[in-house]
Amino acid sequence: MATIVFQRWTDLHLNYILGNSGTITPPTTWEIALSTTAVSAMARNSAISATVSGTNVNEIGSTTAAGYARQAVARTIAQAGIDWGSSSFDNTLSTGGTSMAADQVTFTFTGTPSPGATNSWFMGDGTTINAGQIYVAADTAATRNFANGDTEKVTATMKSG
Amino acid sequence: MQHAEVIYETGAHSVVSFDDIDELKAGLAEHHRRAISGEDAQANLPRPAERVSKVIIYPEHPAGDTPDYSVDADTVSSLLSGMAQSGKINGNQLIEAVRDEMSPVYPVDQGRHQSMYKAEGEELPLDFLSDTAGA
Repeated sequence: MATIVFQRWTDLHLNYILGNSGTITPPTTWEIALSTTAVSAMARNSAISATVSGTNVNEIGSTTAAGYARQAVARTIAQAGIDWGSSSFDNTLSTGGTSMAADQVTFTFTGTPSPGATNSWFMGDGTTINAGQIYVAADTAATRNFANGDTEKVTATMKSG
Repeated sequence: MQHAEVIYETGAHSVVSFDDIDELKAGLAEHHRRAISGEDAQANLPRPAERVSKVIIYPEHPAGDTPDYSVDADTVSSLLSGMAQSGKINGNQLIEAVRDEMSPVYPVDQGRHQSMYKAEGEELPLDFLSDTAGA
């Protein structure tokens, strides 16, 4: 499964953690979203856009949502209903580091969204489709096409190291 | 576009957008039917469907369209006075408390079948599920 870290994520680390920026700050919640774009077509400076062109990341459901909406993950650790779990650390020099998984989020569909063929999920901010910042993305296990009554689950996992 | 927070029996939460309440009801009823029939949540995917336990309706996404970093000034004042010890406060604790105030979701688990959002919503009666056999 391919993954990618976008420019906004690294800018956030540099400006907010190493520095003390008041302009590049974390959002009030992380929002998990679904995209038609496979990671192989993305770039580190990709933008979320309704226009399928270049390295844009195209969110599903912009023409027909059919129930689709972004799902929130709280900025807390093992406190809120859906937030981040405790981290685990692997001391292996070559492959180790710290991993952290969020609680699983659930998407519910009341029809077939358009565009709808889902190839990846991404972590963004705000809830407006095809808008906001994008931080990280990963391919789904396979291309998903949804229908009335379907649900889809995403467990966001981060690894640093 | 309106949104609903669907709380499944398992404790899973899902925000669902809709223009037409009947569209929402039809989708949820179909998923609920699959759950009580022992069917999968999605075709060709071996994961069980989940029964619907609660539905809360909001006029917009309960997390808000864009991140809202504003906090009521009186709330910050009360946080400051509540945290002061010998005339000082722990800056990191204050930052954490203000961050929790900005969050549109509760920073503490409210319970498996309770809303995770601070926004005021209206609970939808689940009688539309009663047409589903065995509900």
